[in-house]
Amino acid sequence: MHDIWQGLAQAFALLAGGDPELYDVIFLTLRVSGLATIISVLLGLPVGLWLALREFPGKRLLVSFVNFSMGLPPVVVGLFVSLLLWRYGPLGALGLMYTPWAIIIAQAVIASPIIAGLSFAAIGSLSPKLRLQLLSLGATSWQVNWQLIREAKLGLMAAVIAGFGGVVSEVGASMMVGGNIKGQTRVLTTATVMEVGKGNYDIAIAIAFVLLFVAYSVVALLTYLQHSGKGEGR
Amino acid sequence: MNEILLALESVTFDRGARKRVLDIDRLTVTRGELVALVGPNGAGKSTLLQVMNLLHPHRGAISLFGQDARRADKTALRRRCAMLFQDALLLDDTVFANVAWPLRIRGWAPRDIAARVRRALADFRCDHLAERRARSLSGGEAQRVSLARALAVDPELLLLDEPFSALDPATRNELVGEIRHLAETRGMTVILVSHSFTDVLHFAERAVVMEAGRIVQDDRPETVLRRPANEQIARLVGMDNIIPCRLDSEGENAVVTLAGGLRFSYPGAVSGPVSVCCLPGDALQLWDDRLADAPVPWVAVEGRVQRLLPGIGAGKLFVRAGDLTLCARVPRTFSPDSENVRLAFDPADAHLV
Repeated sequence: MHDIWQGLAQAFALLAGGDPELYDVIFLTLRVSGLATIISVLLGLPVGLWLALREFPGKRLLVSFVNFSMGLPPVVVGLFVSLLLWRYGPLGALGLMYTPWAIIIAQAVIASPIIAGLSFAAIGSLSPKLRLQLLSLGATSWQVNWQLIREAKLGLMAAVIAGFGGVVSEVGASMMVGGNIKGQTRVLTTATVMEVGKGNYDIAIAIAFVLLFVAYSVVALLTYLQHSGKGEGR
Repeated sequence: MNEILLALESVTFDRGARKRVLDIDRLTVTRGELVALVGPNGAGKSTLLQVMNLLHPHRGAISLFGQDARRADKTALRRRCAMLFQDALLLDDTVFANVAWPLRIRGWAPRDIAARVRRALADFRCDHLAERRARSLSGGEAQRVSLARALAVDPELLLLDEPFSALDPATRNELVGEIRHLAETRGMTVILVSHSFTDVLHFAERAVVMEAGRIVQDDRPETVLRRPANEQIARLVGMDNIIPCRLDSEGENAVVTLAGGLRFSYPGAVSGPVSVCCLPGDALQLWDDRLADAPVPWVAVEGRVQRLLPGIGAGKLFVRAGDLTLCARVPRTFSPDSENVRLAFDPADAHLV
């Protein structure tokens, strides 16, 4: 218990002290996980929308596959992305291994199914007649889709929050494809693991608190956006 | 005036691989008509309305505003129609934004939108709701706003899918009356789906009756009320007496034998097999000696008074005659002076299906 309080105090000290090394790690974490989340939204949201609005044979099988992929172990994703990006792998020529882009790719693979699955649920929970109503009011299919996204905003933002939460906290993939290189691919989770490995529990606890603080700040911002524009019913 | 607005020919719609939910041989609606689409639950009324609004892929030919729906731009055709569903289906936004939505997606200028939204809200007396959140409205208010939204674009064809079924009768009659008034002043064509025949009588000049995806009757509402196409429709419109019967031919005459054993010769034409005799309650009158002189003899029934239900216009008198219970509509001045009563009806008012 004492260690935890000390760690918390040290976390504040580190943040307040403006340690450039720590801030590099924080900004890289935000950049990598933020970009991975954005890519996942671009990939996952259309898939979720498509799954929610189209009927086709084999849909259930596909949905069950997406739902299963929501729980892909990061270590497994890291392994397969490594195999792809490895110097002699199919994408080896791109030279992405052990760069932030490698982590972004791995994290996008982790978060895309989460966002697809949750946005499928969010859009699917709207009244199925709403789509027909919007069409009959004269909307084109793009206008209908855009409006449905707006109507399901609460659930879709929850999907984004879950996606970001999933990638900012994973360590397995980042470690494997990023390599925890100081100043290049070191993010908060890999830094924590490293400090624990070195026996520096106090620093590890401090970084862990920084991670929690950073994650909370982003989620709080997203939650604020989730509820913005929803005035109280008068 | 007789411009054909909507024509369907051999239109079918299947749900899943096997289930045929719609099978329409032919249906035409002319401009300015007020049509009611009635039928039991699951008859395909809503589906037909959605197919008319080109919301589902269908087989067969639909022509809307003289254009072939298969070739024309569906969005452009839909923009000349408006459809209302059973739920108000408002967007999670203000009332103003909801009514403005169909105008906004048509690319109207904000100033024109504001003026039109105000007019549409005023038409349904909900201008005071403009700044409210749609989610905070009551059921009746929401349905009014939904109507204002549908009518903001001045549709030529208005499709109503039981939009009033969740409202209380007073609000409902009021709204039906308002829509009728607007339709008449703007020359709008309206197709109303309803399972309340009261709505139909209040609203429409023409009733199209559906059953199992097909049109089984297409006539004036009063005709449907008095001469329904089959037993199920008779129950749907609330026919007072639906009596199992048998039809025999004796020489040139067709003779009807009712379940209780009552026999009379039937003057009308009969086609197809007959299983029930429908008799509207106002066709049954209290016996009057002058009826004996009628050119076609009236059929008299004697029975015991069971119950008298009071009502406006006419009370409902239930009379037990043998094994048969008859329901007659009697004037409110009627009070049975004895336990027994004698009723009579003109056999021409009986309707066999």
